Amino acid sequence: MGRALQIARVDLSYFFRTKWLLATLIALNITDMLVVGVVYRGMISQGTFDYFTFFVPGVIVTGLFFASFDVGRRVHLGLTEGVSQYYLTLPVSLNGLVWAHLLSAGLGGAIYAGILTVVAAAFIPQLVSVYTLALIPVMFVLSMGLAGIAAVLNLFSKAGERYFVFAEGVQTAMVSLSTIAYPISLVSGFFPSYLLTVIELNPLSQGAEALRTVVNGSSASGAFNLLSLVATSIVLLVVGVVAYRHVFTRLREVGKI
Amino acid sequence: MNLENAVETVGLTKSYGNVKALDGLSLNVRRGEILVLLGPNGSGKTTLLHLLSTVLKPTSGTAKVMGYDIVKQPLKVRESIGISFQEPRGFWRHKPYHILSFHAAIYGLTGEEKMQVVEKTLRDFDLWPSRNKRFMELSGGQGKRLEVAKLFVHRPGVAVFDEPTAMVDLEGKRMIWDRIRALREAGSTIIVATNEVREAEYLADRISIMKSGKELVTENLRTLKDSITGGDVVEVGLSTAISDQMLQVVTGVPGTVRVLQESESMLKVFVNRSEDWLPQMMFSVQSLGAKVTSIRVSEPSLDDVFLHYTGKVVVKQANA
Repeated sequence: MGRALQIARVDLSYFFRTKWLLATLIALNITDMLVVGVVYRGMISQGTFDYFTFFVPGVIVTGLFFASFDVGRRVHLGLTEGVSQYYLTLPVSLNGLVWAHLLSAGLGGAIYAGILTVVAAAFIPQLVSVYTLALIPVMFVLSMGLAGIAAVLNLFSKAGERYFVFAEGVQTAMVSLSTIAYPISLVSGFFPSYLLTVIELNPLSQGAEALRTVVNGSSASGAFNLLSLVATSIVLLVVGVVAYRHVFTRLREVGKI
Repeated sequence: MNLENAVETVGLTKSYGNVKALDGLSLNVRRGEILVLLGPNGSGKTTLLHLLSTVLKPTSGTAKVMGYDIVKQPLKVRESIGISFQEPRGFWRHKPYHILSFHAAIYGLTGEEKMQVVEKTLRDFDLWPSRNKRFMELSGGQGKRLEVAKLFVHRPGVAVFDEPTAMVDLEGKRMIWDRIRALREAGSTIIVATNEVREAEYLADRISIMKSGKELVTENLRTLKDSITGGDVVEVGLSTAISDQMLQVVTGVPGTVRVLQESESMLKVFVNRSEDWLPQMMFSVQSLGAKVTSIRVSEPSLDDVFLHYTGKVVVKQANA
């Protein structure tokens, strides 16, 4: 396990070494929070509904998603540049290698979301709460689960630019079909029921709702949401484990991708 | 498995679709030796190294490294073997110091010991000044030296080098070769894949010549040179003009393959083993009352051996 942790550590460090990507991501997320959130609050907040406090948890979860999803880019680079082949020569089991990548994704997402939460807490004091701390392990599991989706993309994108095209498409679809930017009640009249189900089951929606529960005060429905979020994340995590096992097994069959 | 062997393969095959990259290879590598795999591009050298280091899975056949099966006991194999890839492996933004630190940590080095080993290795491979450059900023030679250096961090029981001096300058080549030999002296078994004949001559205890995924021959350099029929060329100067009888006598000496008369008193003879042939020839010539006034022996180079076994033909370019 110690060796797998070393791989997780070096994989995670690569995410934080990609400084311009990181700076761009943080800038986009903070811009979303402060510009979109504030402007839209002025335009569409009604009664007790405050768009800023609605939107910011969504931005934090989006940040978590993008940071977690970056593991797919790293694995893709590893596959195409031969670093994954190098990992296969190290005394680490196949499962160890798989968990190392998922763990680094989980940590990357959780750390990144943590940074955004600290920034957001300056404007939303409710985020400074023990419930937020209690959410950290849940967000970590969510982050690992979301990495499972990246793993599936790695499985189906063998070489070249295909991974990045797939990733872009999936990220856009997942953010669009979630309650990150709008409450589900707003679209229930427009979208067909199956799409509403997709939006509800979308782990990004569930993550954002969990954070909103903290902002709005915890409730019994919040606990249910958390359970649902953890269950969804675990399902995705299992998918990720299976996908990465396939990716590295195939690498041993076909050589460099 | 024979305990004298560090590596044993039996009928090892790797196919990609209909293409057999390795075709039923059976090969032994003795403990503590340097075995050089010599072969043209596409001969299966790299595939063999990747199979042994568990990067690839064989299509059929078996292989054992230090007694461990590469399919059934991959973890044990990985603890016993280390590979230096043909192309350096590293993420663009990582730095040599971190790359070797990671490698050391994986093999259980920690704290001060790890730092000392990493620093020594970087210095040994002339990479200390570049330790904080990003991987993508290293020159081809620096990247290659870094790749080779990994194996000197954990010094595996079986160290595998795939073209260890490709892209490295002459001075760097000699340094790497000497370090590889020192690694063997320290107890490692070494396998080197190359298509550079000089590298093979410098390093090898035994040379395995490969072609089209198959082993053609595995022997030490001396035996390989001797194995070429008529490979040694002896030019013999005689004290008298060469008669037909003299030609017949020389042709009849055991080991003679071909005799050419170069001048009135000079013969050029192609023989199997000059060291066996010369005393017999001297005796025969003296029995006819002649004296040998000069002898010049040239043995085949490894190039000749390589071309002989791989069937390659050197084509001289016509002058424009």
